Amino acid sequence: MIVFDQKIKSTFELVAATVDQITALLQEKYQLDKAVIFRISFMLREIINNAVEHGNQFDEEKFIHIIVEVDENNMNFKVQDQGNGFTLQILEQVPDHYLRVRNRGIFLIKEFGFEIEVIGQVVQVQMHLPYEVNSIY
Amino acid sequence: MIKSINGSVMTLTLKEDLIAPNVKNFETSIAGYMLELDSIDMEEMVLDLSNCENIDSIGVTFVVSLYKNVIREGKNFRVSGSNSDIRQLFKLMKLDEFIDLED
Repeated sequence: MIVFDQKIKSTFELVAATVDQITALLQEKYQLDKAVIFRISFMLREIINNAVEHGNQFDEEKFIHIIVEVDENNMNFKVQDQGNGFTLQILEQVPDHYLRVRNRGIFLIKEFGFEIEVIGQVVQVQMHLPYEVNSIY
Repeated sequence: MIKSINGSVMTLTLKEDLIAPNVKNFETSIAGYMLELDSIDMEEMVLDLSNCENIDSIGVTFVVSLYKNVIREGKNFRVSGSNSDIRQLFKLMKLDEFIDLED
């Protein structure tokens, strides 16, 4: 079932407002734990910010399409930009020092237990249900 | 961002989330505070995140950059008031090996 389907212009401000909207909706609909909401929020900010920065390159005339779909086993997040497409490798450079932070978003999304796939202009993230927060610590 | 000074400690309290649309403003404010930190007899900067619920990697980059700048000036740096989710994130990134994190 699609629970969210919206296109936004490419600005960080709209990303923040949209992420708040999605997490509030998921919180209300599925009563998710606060820690789960934090991780979904972090993941969404990363992939939509990437679409703004690397995909649409801050071109406010270009849109980002965000779809959230939930079924019995998974929560699926799909973000599509209007850029030239990029590979996951660009965004997941292995950090050579802990104090170099940029591009570590994808590393963290994976550490959080989400599955991520990039196909051209589309980033898809899957969260298996039930999602156990404490499993990675 | 609110600045307060207690003895030799400068505390910067964020009033908003540490996320991309807010970082630009934080950076502008920080530039002035860094000059102040350098010019007066300050020994430590504390970044208070008690009002901050969310963070993204641009926000984390801001904290790391601030840490580097403060350490370069020969001062101490620590983060206080962060919630458990943000602390876990910092630990996952192994930043707790460099940055002192307090509840």
